[in-house]
Amino acid sequence: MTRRWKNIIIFPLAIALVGILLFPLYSGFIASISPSRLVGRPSIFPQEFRFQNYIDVWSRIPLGKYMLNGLFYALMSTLIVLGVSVPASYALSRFRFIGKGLFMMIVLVTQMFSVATIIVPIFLFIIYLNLFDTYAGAIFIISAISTPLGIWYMRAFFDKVPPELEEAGMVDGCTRIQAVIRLVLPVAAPGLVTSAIVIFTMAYKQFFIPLVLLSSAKKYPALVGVYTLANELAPPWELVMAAVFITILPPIVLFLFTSRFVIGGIGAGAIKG
Amino acid sequence: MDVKNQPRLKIKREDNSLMNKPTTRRICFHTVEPFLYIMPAIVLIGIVFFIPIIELFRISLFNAHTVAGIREFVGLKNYANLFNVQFLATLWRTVVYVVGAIPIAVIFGLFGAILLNQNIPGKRFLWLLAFIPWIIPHSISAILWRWLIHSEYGLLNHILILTGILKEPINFLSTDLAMFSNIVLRIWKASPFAIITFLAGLQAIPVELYEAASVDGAKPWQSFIFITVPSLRKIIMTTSILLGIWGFVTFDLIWVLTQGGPISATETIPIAIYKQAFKFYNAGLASAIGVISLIITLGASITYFKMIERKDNP
Repeated sequence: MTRRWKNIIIFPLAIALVGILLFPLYSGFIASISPSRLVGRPSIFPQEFRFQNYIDVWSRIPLGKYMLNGLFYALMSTLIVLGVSVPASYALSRFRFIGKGLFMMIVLVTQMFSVATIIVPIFLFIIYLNLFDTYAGAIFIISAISTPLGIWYMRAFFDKVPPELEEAGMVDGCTRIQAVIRLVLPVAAPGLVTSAIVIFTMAYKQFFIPLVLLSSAKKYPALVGVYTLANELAPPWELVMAAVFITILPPIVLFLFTSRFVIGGIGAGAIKG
Repeated sequence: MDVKNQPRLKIKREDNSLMNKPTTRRICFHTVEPFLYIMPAIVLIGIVFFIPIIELFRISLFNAHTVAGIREFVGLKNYANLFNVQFLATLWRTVVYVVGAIPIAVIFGLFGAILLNQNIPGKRFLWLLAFIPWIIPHSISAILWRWLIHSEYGLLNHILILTGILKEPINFLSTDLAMFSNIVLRIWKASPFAIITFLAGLQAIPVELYEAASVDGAKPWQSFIFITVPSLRKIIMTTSILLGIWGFVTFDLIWVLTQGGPISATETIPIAIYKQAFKFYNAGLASAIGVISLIITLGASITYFKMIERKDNP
């Protein structure tokens, strides 16, 4: 009885649940393939397929520039976060030292933190450094707020690598740094790549920081660029939606690569949306 | 996927004998070594979290302009100015936003997780799909919703009229409904996160418990009340607090959907900070709101950590 009951009720319910969650995407997708004369006439199923919108939008707004900017901010921030968090998370995984518990606590607390709360001092600081409306300023703040997440993730990966590995290397005469580079990093590489992808995605999704710290449109990342198009007085919705789907492509593709880890990592506690 | 792998705050006691018993020659270097590795991170986090927090308190005591800079010391005047009807309304709206959205997202997430945990075809694929709203950036989600609930062209109005629920399209972003729409958007955004955390929790409940219960003649709803809910109790609490904090500090979702409007119908604390700082250039007042927001979030965070630290109490 239970098996049949399950197939008849549970499966459609599960489909309905996923359908509800994906419905806003569906409604946006229909708009993105509608010719502009049909956008004003909503219908549940697309009446015409016009993929031309996905080409037109590149000339309507400098989407190529926005995309490159967004990817550039994300890439540079990821590199900085990696440079800072690899040694830090290694130290947290391998050493005992004074203040370690406090440091881990701080790393966790910053996960809950919103930059919106401290945006005034950050803004004044960026003005003070003469970094307002520069790539460097945005990258600096984005990488700094992503660092705690990087440390948290990578520490978990270093914990999985047995310390005997570099101990053996050090017995054989390597310095610790040589041993880590030659022996530990290759073993931890898959984890580091996964962390890098998570950090990249998070940096790419930043909206508030570029909105506040940049003023010239040619430096906008994709998200802010799409936002300005959607905020026009009478936005061309079919183009807005085409831009939306182009913009979310990188995070979705990267998520599919790391889904197994990210879904497990959520259970393990720390991820910021 | 194991409940025991929940965030470990208690720092594991490493037992790397080689490293903890340095030879006398290297004892100095050994004490300093970890700090060398950790220093860049401390500097970066210090510059962007600690100094700004101290600065936030300081600026909140001054009459300060966002661009022109700090002018004069005014003591607690900014805080005194906050205690007016307007700010209390902002605080109240923030509470409404969080309390309106999070419990529903958690309940929805719980039922979603139970549903997706059944033996259904394509289970893993459905998990992936259910998780997608969480992957989409907040600002983009809000743009998608602006289109979905558009008063003239939106698919939602269209469907509500087709099914006869509505006679005329309604403006979901009107003064009366804007907060409601924001809450629904937050529920949509938060539910996938709840689903995934609860799925992780459900996976960790031993199947034997359910088998034993059904041998003893328990009905499915009894298993739910007496096995599922108690096993997930802690994960439900921590997820709720986490989502509550994130809801409390939400900027992107609300800003892109309604910009805090119409008038100030959806102006929550982060929106108020942004408007004070970058529309009215009143950095002092914005910082005072920031301090209050900081205190509330820190209080909630500490509760959260106390809760996940209590390992022995699942």
